[in-house]
This record gives sequence, structure tokens and C-alpha cells, in this order.
Amino acid sequence: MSRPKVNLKNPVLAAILAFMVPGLGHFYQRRVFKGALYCVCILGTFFTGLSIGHGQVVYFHWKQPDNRTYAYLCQVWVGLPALPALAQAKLRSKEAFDPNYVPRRFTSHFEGTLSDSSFPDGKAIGKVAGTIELKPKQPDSPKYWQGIVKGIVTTAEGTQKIEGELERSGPGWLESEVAPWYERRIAGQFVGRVADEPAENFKLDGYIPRSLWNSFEAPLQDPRSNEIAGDPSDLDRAHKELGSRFELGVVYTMIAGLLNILAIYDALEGPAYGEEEEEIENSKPPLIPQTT
Amino acid sequence: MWHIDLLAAGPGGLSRVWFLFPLIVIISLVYSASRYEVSERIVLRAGRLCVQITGFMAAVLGLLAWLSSGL
Repeated sequence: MSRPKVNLKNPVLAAILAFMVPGLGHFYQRRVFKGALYCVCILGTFFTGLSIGHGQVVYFHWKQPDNRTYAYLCQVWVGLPALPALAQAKLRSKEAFDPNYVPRRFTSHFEGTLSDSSFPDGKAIGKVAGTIELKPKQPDSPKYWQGIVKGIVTTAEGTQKIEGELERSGPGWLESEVAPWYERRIAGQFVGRVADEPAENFKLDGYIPRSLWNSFEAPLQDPRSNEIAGDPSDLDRAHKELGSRFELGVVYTMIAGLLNILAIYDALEGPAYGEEEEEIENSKPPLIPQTT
Repeated sequence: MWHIDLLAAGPGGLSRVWFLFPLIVIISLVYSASRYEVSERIVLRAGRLCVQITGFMAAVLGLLAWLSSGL
């Protein structure tokens, strides 16, 4: 290919920079307008797509042949913003995607709804906010957890202190540690005291927050490794929540990745019509007539 | 009169078709930037490409709407 008359500095370094962050290679080459254009357009498209898909449309999943994310092969070209998906898939243990898995003790913020356990439909009593200390029930059985909840419950009568023990029993459930949702659902049988009343049985259903590392570009499991028959998978849940937004988000993020291939090539080899454009410019008569 | 529900409200109360226009603008700009170096030329060519893509897609939409009108 003919070399254009654009100073590309070190083109390989520029191409690597352009891959890492769209436009960065062009800033390095002092092509500021193009750098800004690539940066705004490509990153804007990528993050718009991610936002349309509520952060659930960029992830890497390859082990299950029915749930391979071929779209990621396009998305990955956006560079750094898409690489956490690869880290989530490669650096996580299998158990991090299993529900009801609590390998060690930890404390977290908790919010939820307290219900009366004597009614089958669980008549709501009030909203609970506080902390929960979760731990495995026995050191060698991380699939069975229990938690100590401390906080306040807000009912129609006002706010009162609440303290008790939440357990995985019956319909008890704790979502996996890693999933692309900020809220990690936890529910179970709650034996506790409201204000100074004697301890009673309740149902408690709420959530604890996931950190950015546990949610950003986390893979959607389909099916989950220990899925119960008829239980919706992560992918089912995402499609149900998002509808056509899921596909829209995938398309936006895929296009962003594909566009960055053009930007990387431009950083490596210069513009496709670089010389032609130069020749057209040169063939024009000079604005100021030259005097001999 | 043809019934075109493509412009009907979709996700978030916004039709899916409206999500197309920012993509057309961005694809035109990035494609033109990868072809040319001078900023004025990039913008000019991107504008032209934008019109071409929109026109082509409108023509295809019209054709499909016409073909499906009797269904």
C-alpha cells in the first residue's frame, strides 16, 4: 500500500493505542480532530448500547455451545471498555456464578420487605433497611448460609428496631455473587424480634448490592450450573426485562466495535484516500499567486 | 393507506426506528474519517453519505411497505 503523506509517527504503537481507547492513537499522532471524532462517536455508541441494554449486553461466554456470545467478537474491538467482560469470564471461579454460595463470612448493606409467614401469599408488614452479616452455616457447607440482620423496619405505625436470623430454608434463595445486576436478591425464613417483642417467624425478601467488579460486563448464565427445572436462567431474565432493548443494545455495541477497526486501520496506515486527497488539493491553483 | 407500525412506540416509549438515525450519522462520520484526512472534507462526505444511506433505507422501507400492503 502506498504511504500517505500524514505523519503517523510510530504506526504500530498508534494502532495499539487506537485499539485500547478509540481515538487515542490519533491523539498520539497529533490528529486531534479525527481523534476526538473517533473517541466521541465510537465510545458514545458503545456506552449508549450498554445503557440501552442495562449493562447486560456485553459479556463473554464460550463454554456452553448454545450460549456462545459471537457478538463479543465484534464488541471486543472497542478495546479497554469491553475487556472487563473477558476478565469476568476467565478470572472467575465456577462457584462465583452459583446461587446460594457463601464461602466466607461478609457483611453488607441490606434492604427488603418483611412479610407475615403465616399467610401463603406473604402479607407485607414493612420495609427493612440495615446490614446483614452472611456466613456459611457450617464451614464445610458453603451452599447453606445464614445471616444476621440488624436494622430498622418501617411499618404503618412508624419505625422500629429489628434484629434476627435469616436462613436458607424452604424457598430461601441467594443469587450468585457475579451477575450483571446491581441488586443481588436474598430471601428466606426470618426469625427475629421487632422492637422488644418476642422472636417470631417472618419471611424476608430483599437484596444486597453487588460491587462494580461483581456486576460490570458479567456473563449471563444459560442455563445456570445448578439450575432447577423450570427456573428461569439469567439470559431468560435479561430478555424478559429488556425485550427488544436487548437486541438494540447488542447491535449498538457491535457496531461500535466494528467502527473501531476502521479507526485502528486509519492509525496504522493513514486515511484510505490520503494521497489522492493531497493530489486534488495540490492541483488547485494557489490562493496567493506566486511571484518569481 | 398503508399501516406502518415501525414508527409506533417501542422500548422506553420510543420507536426502534429512531434508534437508527444516530447510528447512520455515526457510521457516516467514522467511515468518512477513515477515508479522508481534512476535517472539512470528512464532514462534507459524511453528510453526503448520511443522506445516501437514509435515502436508500427509506426506498427499501417504501418498497417493503408497498409489497406488504395487500397482506
